[in-house]
Amino acid sequence: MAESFIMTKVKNGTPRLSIRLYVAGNAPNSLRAIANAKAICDERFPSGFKLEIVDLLQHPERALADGIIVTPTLVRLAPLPLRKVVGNLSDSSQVLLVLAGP
Amino acid sequence: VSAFLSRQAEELTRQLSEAEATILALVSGQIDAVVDASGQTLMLLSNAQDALRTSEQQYRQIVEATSDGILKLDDAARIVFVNQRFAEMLGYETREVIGKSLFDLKSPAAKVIGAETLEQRLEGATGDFDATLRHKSGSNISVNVACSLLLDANGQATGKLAVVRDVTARKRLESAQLEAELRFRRIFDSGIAGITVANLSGVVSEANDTFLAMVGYTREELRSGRVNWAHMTPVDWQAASSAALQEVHANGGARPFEKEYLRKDGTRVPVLVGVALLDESRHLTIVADLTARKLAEERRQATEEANRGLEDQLRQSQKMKAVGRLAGGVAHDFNNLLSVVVSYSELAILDLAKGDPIREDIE
Repeated sequence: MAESFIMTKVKNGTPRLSIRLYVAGNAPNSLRAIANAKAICDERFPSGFKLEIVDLLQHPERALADGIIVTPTLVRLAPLPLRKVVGNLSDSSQVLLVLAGP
Repeated sequence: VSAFLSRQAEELTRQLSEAEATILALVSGQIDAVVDASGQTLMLLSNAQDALRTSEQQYRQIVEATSDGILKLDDAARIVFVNQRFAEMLGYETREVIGKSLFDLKSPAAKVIGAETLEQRLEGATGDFDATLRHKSGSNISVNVACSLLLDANGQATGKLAVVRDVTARKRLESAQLEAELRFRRIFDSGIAGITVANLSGVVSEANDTFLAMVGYTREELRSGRVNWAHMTPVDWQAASSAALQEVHANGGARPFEKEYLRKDGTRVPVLVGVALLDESRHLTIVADLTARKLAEERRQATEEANRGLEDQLRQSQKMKAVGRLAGGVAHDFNNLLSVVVSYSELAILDLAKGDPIREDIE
Protein backbone atom coordinates (compact mmCIF):
# COMPACT_ATOMS: atom_id res chain seq x y z
CA MET A 1 0.00 0.00 0.00
CA ALA A 2 1.24 3.44 -0.83
CA GLU A 3 1.36 5.46 2.35
CA SER A 4 0.00 8.96 2.15
CA PHE A 5 2.94 11.27 1.98
CA ILE A 6 3.94 14.75 1.06
CA MET A 7 6.85 15.52 -1.16
CA THR A 8 8.04 19.10 -1.13
CA LYS A 9 10.76 20.88 -2.95
CA VAL A 10 11.22 24.50 -1.94
CA LYS A 11 13.88 26.93 -3.08
CA ASN A 12 12.68 30.18 -1.45
CA GLY A 13 9.53 30.71 0.60
CA THR A 14 6.34 28.75 0.02
CA PRO A 15 6.11 27.00 -3.32
CA ARG A 16 3.67 28.55 -5.80
CA LEU A 17 2.43 25.15 -6.97
CA SER A 18 0.62 22.88 -4.54
CA ILE A 19 -1.03 19.69 -5.79
CA ARG A 20 -2.67 16.63 -4.30
CA LEU A 21 -2.89 13.23 -5.96
CA TYR A 22 -5.61 10.77 -4.94
CA VAL A 23 -4.70 7.11 -5.55
CA ALA A 24 -5.95 3.59 -4.79
CA GLY A 25 -3.12 1.70 -3.10
CA ASN A 26 -0.76 -0.09 -5.45
CA ALA A 27 -3.24 -0.25 -8.32
CA PRO A 28 -1.34 0.08 -11.61
CA ASN A 29 -2.78 3.44 -12.80
CA SER A 30 -2.24 4.88 -9.34
CA LEU A 31 1.42 3.85 -9.28
CA ARG A 32 1.86 5.24 -12.78
CA ALA A 33 0.17 8.50 -11.80
CA ILE A 34 2.46 8.93 -8.77
CA ALA A 35 5.56 8.38 -10.91
CA ASN A 36 4.28 10.73 -13.63
CA ALA A 37 3.33 13.47 -11.17
CA LYS A 38 6.77 13.35 -9.52
CA ALA A 39 8.52 13.46 -12.87
CA ILE A 40 6.46 16.40 -14.19
CA CYS A 41 6.94 18.39 -10.98
CA ASP A 42 10.69 17.72 -10.90
CA GLU A 43 11.18 18.60 -14.55
CA ARG A 44 8.76 21.49 -15.06
CA PHE A 45 8.69 23.15 -11.63
CA PRO A 46 12.32 23.18 -10.56
CA SER A 47 11.74 26.34 -8.53
CA GLY A 48 9.61 24.34 -6.09
CA PHE A 49 6.33 22.52 -5.53
CA LYS A 50 4.31 20.68 -2.91
CA LEU A 51 2.95 17.26 -3.88
CA GLU A 52 0.70 15.33 -1.51
CA ILE A 53 -0.24 11.72 -2.18
CA VAL A 54 -3.49 10.50 -0.59
CA ASP A 55 -4.28 6.78 -0.61
CA LEU A 56 -8.06 6.48 -0.64
CA LEU A 57 -7.85 2.77 0.23
CA GLN A 58 -6.53 3.84 3.61
CA HIS A 59 -8.42 7.13 3.90
CA PRO A 60 -11.66 6.72 1.89
CA GLU A 61 -13.31 9.49 3.94
CA ARG A 62 -11.07 12.09 2.33
CA ALA A 63 -12.59 11.42 -1.09
CA LEU A 64 -15.97 12.95 -0.37
CA ALA A 65 -14.46 15.88 1.45
CA ASP A 66 -12.51 16.82 -1.64
CA GLY A 67 -15.22 15.88 -4.15
CA ILE A 68 -13.25 13.04 -5.72
CA ILE A 69 -15.21 10.39 -7.60
CA VAL A 70 -12.46 8.31 -9.25
CA THR A 71 -8.75 7.53 -8.75
CA PRO A 72 -6.25 8.55 -9.78
CA THR A 73 -7.21 12.22 -9.69
CA LEU A 74 -4.79 15.10 -9.46
CA VAL A 75 -6.03 18.34 -7.88
CA ARG A 76 -4.27 21.68 -8.18
CA LEU A 77 -4.79 23.40 -4.81
CA ALA A 78 -2.64 26.44 -5.50
CA PRO A 79 -2.59 28.68 -7.36
CA LEU A 80 -6.36 28.99 -7.35
CA PRO A 81 -8.79 28.19 -8.94
CA LEU A 82 -8.91 24.45 -8.16
CA ARG A 83 -8.23 22.37 -11.24
CA LYS A 84 -8.43 18.59 -11.69
CA VAL A 85 -6.79 16.04 -13.95
CA VAL A 86 -8.24 12.53 -14.06
CA GLY A 87 -6.25 9.45 -15.15
CA ASN A 88 -2.72 8.14 -14.94
CA LEU A 89 -1.13 11.45 -16.03
CA SER A 90 0.82 9.85 -18.89
CA ASP A 91 -0.18 12.73 -21.22
CA SER A 92 2.28 15.16 -19.65
CA SER A 93 1.51 18.06 -22.01
CA GLN A 94 -2.16 17.99 -21.00
CA VAL A 95 -1.19 17.78 -17.30
CA LEU A 96 1.17 20.69 -17.74
CA LEU A 97 -1.55 22.71 -19.46
CA VAL A 98 -3.74 22.35 -16.36
CA LEU A 99 -0.97 22.88 -13.77
CA ALA A 100 0.50 25.94 -15.46
CA GLY A 101 -2.84 27.29 -16.74
CA PRO A 102 -5.25 29.82 -15.17
CA VAL B 1 -27.31 39.53 -13.61
CA SER B 2 -25.60 38.91 -16.87
CA ALA B 3 -22.22 38.74 -15.06
CA PHE B 4 -23.67 36.18 -12.63
CA LEU B 5 -25.09 34.14 -15.50
CA SER B 6 -21.87 34.20 -17.41
CA ARG B 7 -19.99 33.02 -14.25
CA GLN B 8 -22.57 30.22 -13.89
CA ALA B 9 -22.09 29.27 -17.53
CA GLU B 10 -18.33 29.24 -17.08
CA GLU B 11 -18.62 26.96 -14.02
CA LEU B 12 -20.96 24.60 -15.86
CA THR B 13 -18.59 24.43 -18.81
CA ARG B 14 -15.72 23.58 -16.47
CA GLN B 15 -17.74 20.85 -14.75
CA LEU B 16 -18.80 19.48 -18.09
CA SER B 17 -15.24 19.33 -19.39
CA GLU B 18 -14.18 17.62 -16.13
CA ALA B 19 -16.93 15.03 -16.51
CA GLU B 20 -15.89 14.54 -20.10
CA ALA B 21 -12.26 14.03 -19.04
CA THR B 22 -13.34 11.53 -16.39
CA ILE B 23 -15.35 9.52 -18.90
CA LEU B 24 -12.47 9.65 -21.35
CA ALA B 25 -10.10 8.38 -18.65
CA LEU B 26 -12.54 5.62 -17.72
CA VAL B 27 -12.91 4.52 -21.34
CA SER B 28 -9.17 4.49 -21.89
CA GLY B 29 -8.67 2.34 -18.80
CA GLN B 30 -6.81 4.92 -16.73
CA ILE B 31 -9.11 4.63 -13.71
CA ASP B 32 -8.39 2.24 -10.82
CA ALA B 33 -11.28 2.89 -8.49
CA VAL B 34 -14.56 4.72 -8.15
CA VAL B 35 -15.64 6.36 -4.90
CA ASP B 36 -18.96 5.00 -3.68
CA ALA B 37 -21.07 8.15 -3.38
CA SER B 38 -23.34 6.69 -0.68
CA GLY B 39 -20.74 5.44 1.71
CA GLN B 40 -17.11 6.12 2.19
CA THR B 41 -15.71 3.13 0.38
CA LEU B 42 -13.65 2.72 -2.70
CA MET B 43 -14.76 0.26 -5.39
CA LEU B 44 -11.78 -1.16 -7.18
CA LEU B 45 -12.29 -1.75 -10.89
CA SER B 46 -11.63 -5.29 -12.08
CA ASN B 47 -8.24 -4.62 -13.65
CA ALA B 48 -7.11 -3.00 -10.44
CA GLN B 49 -8.40 -5.97 -8.49
CA ASP B 50 -6.48 -8.29 -10.77
CA ALA B 51 -3.40 -6.24 -10.20
CA LEU B 52 -3.88 -6.40 -6.44
CA ARG B 53 -4.46 -10.14 -6.64
CA THR B 54 -1.26 -10.53 -8.68
CA SER B 55 0.61 -8.45 -6.17
CA GLU B 56 -0.80 -10.58 -3.34
CA GLN B 57 0.21 -13.71 -5.23
CA GLN B 58 3.71 -12.35 -5.60
CA TYR B 59 3.94 -11.78 -1.86
CA ARG B 60 2.69 -15.29 -1.23
CA GLN B 61 5.30 -16.68 -3.61
CA ILE B 62 8.01 -14.79 -1.79
CA VAL B 63 6.74 -16.07 1.54
CA GLU B 64 6.66 -19.65 0.29
CA ALA B 65 9.94 -19.52 -1.60
CA THR B 66 12.04 -18.31 1.29
CA SER B 67 14.19 -20.78 3.21
CA ASP B 68 13.03 -19.27 6.49
CA GLY B 69 9.91 -20.15 8.38
CA ILE B 70 7.40 -17.31 8.49
CA LEU B 71 4.70 -17.13 11.14
CA LYS B 72 1.96 -14.74 12.00
CA LEU B 73 1.02 -14.82 15.67
CA ASP B 74 -1.99 -13.23 17.29
CA ASP B 75 -1.60 -11.29 20.54
CA ALA B 76 -1.80 -14.56 22.53
CA ALA B 77 1.12 -16.01 20.50
CA ARG B 78 -1.29 -18.37 18.72
CA ILE B 79 -0.22 -19.21 15.21
CA VAL B 80 -2.65 -17.79 12.64
CA PHE B 81 -0.46 -18.24 9.58
CA VAL B 82 2.61 -20.29 8.70
CA ASN B 83 4.40 -20.88 5.46
CA GLN B 84 5.17 -24.38 4.23
CA ARG B 85 8.81 -24.06 5.27
CA PHE B 86 8.05 -23.55 8.95
CA ALA B 87 5.80 -26.62 9.04
CA GLU B 88 8.50 -28.67 7.28
CA MET B 89 11.12 -27.45 9.70
CA LEU B 90 9.21 -29.00 12.58
CA GLY B 91 7.86 -32.01 10.66
CA TYR B 92 4.21 -30.92 10.66
CA GLU B 93 1.58 -30.12 8.05
CA THR B 94 0.70 -26.43 7.96
CA ARG B 95 -2.90 -27.17 9.05
CA GLU B 96 -1.58 -29.00 12.14
CA VAL B 97 0.37 -25.97 13.25
CA ILE B 98 -2.37 -23.35 12.74
CA GLY B 99 -4.05 -22.54 16.04
CA LYS B 100 -1.24 -23.92 18.19
CA SER B 101 0.60 -21.60 20.49
CA LEU B 102 4.24 -21.08 19.63
CA PHE B 103 4.97 -22.19 23.20
CA ASP B 104 3.48 -25.63 22.40
CA LEU B 105 6.28 -26.09 19.89
CA LYS B 106 9.00 -25.19 22.32
CA SER B 107 11.51 -27.84 23.28
CA PRO B 108 10.77 -29.27 26.76
CA ALA B 109 14.52 -29.60 27.31
CA ALA B 110 14.85 -25.86 26.91
CA LYS B 111 11.83 -25.19 29.07
CA VAL B 112 13.52 -23.68 32.10
CA ILE B 113 15.44 -21.08 30.18
CA GLY B 114 13.41 -21.27 27.01
CA ALA B 115 10.07 -20.68 28.71
CA GLU B 116 11.22 -17.39 30.10
CA THR B 117 13.14 -16.20 27.12
CA LEU B 118 10.58 -17.15 24.50
CA GLU B 119 7.74 -15.47 26.39
CA GLN B 120 9.80 -12.51 27.44
CA ARG B 121 11.31 -12.09 24.04
CA LEU B 122 7.90 -12.26 22.43
CA GLU B 123 6.73 -9.69 24.95
CA GLY B 124 9.45 -7.34 23.86
CA ALA B 125 8.23 -6.15 20.52
CA THR B 126 11.06 -6.61 18.10
CA GLY B 127 14.57 -7.91 17.61
CA ASP B 128 15.93 -11.40 17.17
CA PHE B 129 16.86 -14.15 19.61
CA ASP B 130 17.84 -17.82 19.72
CA ALA B 131 15.37 -20.47 20.84
CA THR B 132 14.99 -24.23 20.76
CA LEU B 133 11.88 -25.74 19.21
CA ARG B 134 10.81 -29.37 19.20
CA HIS B 135 10.49 -31.34 15.98
CA LYS B 136 7.42 -33.58 15.73
CA SER B 137 9.79 -36.56 16.07
CA GLY B 138 11.02 -35.19 19.41
CA SER B 139 14.42 -33.94 18.36
CA ASN B 140 15.51 -30.39 19.12
CA ILE B 141 15.74 -27.69 16.48
CA SER B 142 17.90 -24.66 17.17
CA VAL B 143 16.35 -21.59 15.66
CA ASN B 144 16.91 -17.90 15.42
CA VAL B 145 13.68 -15.92 15.66
CA ALA B 146 13.34 -12.39 14.30
CA CYS B 147 10.18 -10.71 15.52
CA SER B 148 8.32 -7.62 14.49
CA LEU B 149 5.00 -6.12 15.49
CA LEU B 150 2.09 -6.18 13.08
CA LEU B 151 0.14 -2.92 13.16
CA ASP B 152 -3.26 -2.09 11.76
CA ALA B 153 -4.14 1.15 9.94
CA ASN B 154 -4.53 2.97 13.25
CA GLY B 155 -1.14 1.86 14.54
CA GLN B 156 -2.63 -0.67 16.97
CA ALA B 157 -0.69 -3.94 17.42
CA THR B 158 -2.65 -6.87 16.01
CA GLY B 159 -0.03 -9.55 16.55
CA LYS B 160 3.50 -10.44 15.62
CA LEU B 161 5.34 -11.53 12.58
CA ALA B 162 8.13 -14.02 13.27
CA VAL B 163 10.79 -15.13 10.83
CA VAL B 164 12.30 -18.38 12.06
CA ARG B 165 15.63 -19.63 10.76
CA ASP B 166 16.81 -23.17 11.37
CA VAL B 167 20.34 -22.84 12.73
CA THR B 168 20.73 -26.47 13.90
CA ALA B 169 23.23 -27.30 11.17
CA ARG B 170 25.10 -24.08 11.82
CA LYS B 171 25.20 -24.77 15.57
CA ARG B 172 26.40 -28.31 14.95
CA LEU B 173 29.09 -27.04 12.62
CA GLU B 174 30.08 -24.43 15.16
CA SER B 175 30.46 -26.99 17.92
CA ALA B 176 32.36 -29.35 15.60
CA GLN B 177 34.68 -26.50 14.71
CA LEU B 178 35.05 -25.65 18.35
CA GLU B 179 35.94 -29.24 19.17
CA ALA B 180 38.44 -29.46 16.34
CA GLU B 181 39.99 -26.24 17.51
CA LEU B 182 40.12 -27.50 21.08
CA ARG B 183 41.75 -30.72 19.94
CA PHE B 184 44.37 -28.80 18.02
CA ARG B 185 44.87 -26.48 20.97
CA ARG B 186 45.55 -29.53 23.18
CA ILE B 187 48.19 -30.81 20.79
CA PHE B 188 49.57 -27.30 20.52
CA ASP B 189 49.86 -26.95 24.29
CA SER B 190 50.94 -30.52 25.00
CA GLY B 191 54.60 -29.72 24.38
CA ILE B 192 55.17 -32.93 22.44
CA ALA B 193 56.67 -30.90 19.63
CA GLY B 194 57.24 -27.29 18.66
CA ILE B 195 54.31 -26.03 16.62
CA THR B 196 54.16 -22.75 14.72
CA VAL B 197 51.92 -20.94 12.30
CA ALA B 198 53.78 -18.65 9.94
CA ASN B 199 52.85 -16.57 6.92
CA LEU B 200 54.49 -16.80 3.51
CA SER B 201 57.14 -14.20 4.30
CA GLY B 202 58.27 -16.35 7.21
CA VAL B 203 56.90 -14.28 10.09
CA VAL B 204 55.79 -16.63 12.86
CA SER B 205 52.43 -15.48 14.19
CA GLU B 206 51.77 -18.33 16.58
CA ALA B 207 54.11 -20.66 18.42
CA ASN B 208 53.85 -22.84 21.48
CA ASP B 209 56.22 -22.65 24.45
CA THR B 210 58.07 -25.77 23.32
CA PHE B 211 59.05 -24.06 20.09
CA LEU B 212 60.04 -20.81 21.77
CA ALA B 213 62.21 -22.69 24.25
CA MET B 214 63.79 -24.64 21.38
CA VAL B 215 64.90 -21.52 19.52
CA GLY B 216 65.43 -19.27 22.52
CA TYR B 217 62.89 -16.53 21.77
CA THR B 218 60.41 -14.97 24.21
CA ARG B 219 56.67 -14.64 23.73
CA GLU B 220 57.06 -10.85 23.59
CA GLU B 221 59.43 -11.21 20.67
CA LEU B 222 56.91 -13.49 18.99
CA ARG B 223 54.15 -10.95 19.55
CA SER B 224 56.20 -8.13 18.06
CA GLY B 225 56.79 -10.22 14.91
CA ARG B 226 60.52 -10.68 15.43
CA VAL B 227 60.44 -14.46 15.13
CA ASN B 228 61.06 -15.22 11.47
CA TRP B 229 61.99 -18.44 9.68
CA ALA B 230 64.35 -16.48 7.48
CA HIS B 231 66.55 -15.59 10.48
CA MET B 232 66.36 -19.06 11.90
CA THR B 233 67.60 -20.98 8.89
CA PRO B 234 71.41 -21.14 8.61
CA VAL B 235 72.90 -20.30 5.20
CA ASP B 236 73.98 -23.88 4.53
CA TRP B 237 70.40 -25.08 5.04
CA GLN B 238 68.63 -22.46 2.95
CA ALA B 239 68.66 -24.39 -0.34
CA ALA B 240 67.17 -27.50 1.29
CA SER B 241 64.58 -25.39 3.12
CA SER B 242 63.35 -23.55 0.05
CA ALA B 243 63.11 -26.85 -1.83
CA ALA B 244 60.94 -28.20 0.97
CA LEU B 245 58.77 -25.06 0.89
CA GLN B 246 58.29 -25.46 -2.85
CA GLU B 247 57.14 -29.01 -2.25
CA VAL B 248 54.71 -27.73 0.36
CA HIS B 249 53.18 -25.27 -2.08
CA ALA B 250 52.99 -27.83 -4.86
CA ASN B 251 51.53 -30.69 -2.81
CA GLY B 252 50.05 -29.01 0.26
CA GLY B 253 52.66 -30.62 2.49
CA ALA B 254 56.23 -31.93 2.61
CA ARG B 255 57.70 -35.10 3.99
CA PRO B 256 59.42 -34.48 7.33
CA PHE B 257 63.03 -33.52 6.84
CA GLU B 258 65.99 -32.87 9.10
CA LYS B 259 67.68 -29.52 9.27
CA GLU B 260 69.20 -27.11 11.73
CA TYR B 261 67.88 -23.88 13.18
CA LEU B 262 69.82 -20.97 14.47
CA ARG B 263 68.85 -20.03 17.98
CA LYS B 264 68.63 -16.40 18.92
CA ASP B 265 72.06 -16.72 20.59
CA GLY B 266 73.58 -18.06 17.35
CA THR B 267 73.98 -21.69 18.44
CA ARG B 268 72.40 -24.40 16.34
CA VAL B 269 69.70 -26.85 17.15
CA PRO B 270 69.16 -30.00 15.06
CA VAL B 271 65.48 -30.51 14.24
CA LEU B 272 63.05 -32.68 12.33
CA VAL B 273 60.53 -30.46 10.50
CA GLY B 274 57.11 -31.29 9.06
CA VAL B 275 55.32 -28.54 7.10
CA ALA B 276 51.71 -28.39 5.92
CA LEU B 277 49.82 -25.64 4.16
CA LEU B 278 47.14 -24.25 6.51
CA ASP B 279 45.49 -21.98 3.93
CA GLU B 280 46.73 -20.03 0.94
CA SER B 281 48.71 -17.60 3.07
CA ARG B 282 49.88 -19.56 6.12
CA HIS B 283 51.64 -22.80 6.93
CA LEU B 284 51.73 -24.98 9.95
CA THR B 285 55.11 -26.32 11.02
CA ILE B 286 55.75 -29.08 13.50
CA VAL B 287 59.28 -29.18 14.83
CA ALA B 288 60.88 -31.97 16.87
CA ASP B 289 64.11 -31.16 18.71
CA LEU B 290 66.74 -33.72 17.72
CA THR B 291 69.37 -32.51 20.20
CA ALA B 292 68.76 -35.38 22.59
CA ARG B 293 68.69 -37.92 19.79
CA LYS B 294 71.86 -36.56 18.22
CA LEU B 295 73.52 -36.63 21.64
CA ALA B 296 72.43 -40.21 22.17
CA GLU B 297 73.75 -41.12 18.77
CA GLU B 298 77.10 -39.53 19.52
CA ARG B 299 77.26 -41.30 22.83
CA ARG B 300 76.49 -44.57 21.13
CA GLN B 301 79.27 -43.96 18.67
CA ALA B 302 81.71 -43.15 21.46
CA THR B 303 80.69 -46.27 23.34
CA GLU B 304 81.09 -48.30 20.20
CA GLU B 305 84.62 -46.98 19.76
CA ALA B 306 85.46 -47.69 23.37
CA ASN B 307 84.08 -51.18 22.99
CA ARG B 308 86.10 -51.74 19.89
CA GLY B 309 89.29 -50.94 21.96
CA LEU B 310 88.35 -53.43 24.64
CA GLU B 311 87.68 -56.03 22.02
CA ASP B 312 91.12 -55.59 20.59
CA GLN B 313 92.64 -55.99 24.05
CA LEU B 314 90.60 -59.08 24.64
CA ARG B 315 91.65 -60.55 21.33
CA GLN B 316 95.28 -59.81 22.17
CA SER B 317 95.06 -61.43 25.55
CA GLN B 318 93.38 -64.46 24.07
CA LYS B 319 96.23 -64.72 21.59
CA MET B 320 98.68 -64.47 24.41
CA LYS B 321 96.82 -67.11 26.31
CA ALA B 322 96.94 -69.44 23.35
CA VAL B 323 100.63 -68.83 22.88
CA GLY B 324 101.13 -69.37 26.57
CA ARG B 325 99.22 -72.58 26.48
CA LEU B 326 101.26 -73.70 23.50
CA ALA B 327 104.46 -72.69 25.22
CA GLY B 328 103.29 -74.51 28.32
CA GLY B 329 102.67 -77.65 26.30
CA VAL B 330 105.99 -77.42 24.60
CA ALA B 331 107.67 -76.79 27.95
CA HIS B 332 105.91 -79.77 29.45
CA ASP B 333 107.02 -82.07 26.67
CA PHE B 334 110.47 -80.64 26.86
CA ASN B 335 110.38 -81.04 30.62
CA ASN B 336 109.49 -84.71 30.26
CA LEU B 337 112.38 -85.27 27.96
CA LEU B 338 114.60 -83.20 30.20
CA SER B 339 113.59 -85.09 33.34
CA VAL B 340 114.51 -88.37 31.62
CA VAL B 341 117.87 -86.87 30.65
CA VAL B 342 118.35 -85.53 34.19
CA SER B 343 117.37 -88.83 35.83
CA TYR B 344 119.55 -90.91 33.62
CA SER B 345 122.40 -88.46 34.11
CA GLU B 346 122.01 -88.73 37.90
CA LEU B 347 121.92 -92.52 37.67
CA ALA B 348 125.01 -92.39 35.46
CA ILE B 349 126.80 -90.22 38.01
CA LEU B 350 126.08 -92.76 40.74
CA ASP B 351 127.89 -95.41 38.73
CA LEU B 352 130.95 -93.23 38.08
CA ALA B 353 133.93 -93.19 40.33
CA LYS B 354 135.08 -89.99 41.98
CA GLY B 355 137.53 -88.19 39.74
CA ASP B 356 136.28 -89.84 36.60
CA PRO B 357 136.93 -87.41 33.73
CA ILE B 358 133.37 -87.83 32.25
CA ARG B 359 131.75 -86.91 35.60
CA GLU B 360 132.31 -83.23 35.12
CA ASP B 361 130.66 -83.31 31.67
CA ILE B 362 127.63 -85.17 32.95
CA GLU B 363 127.15 -82.75 35.90
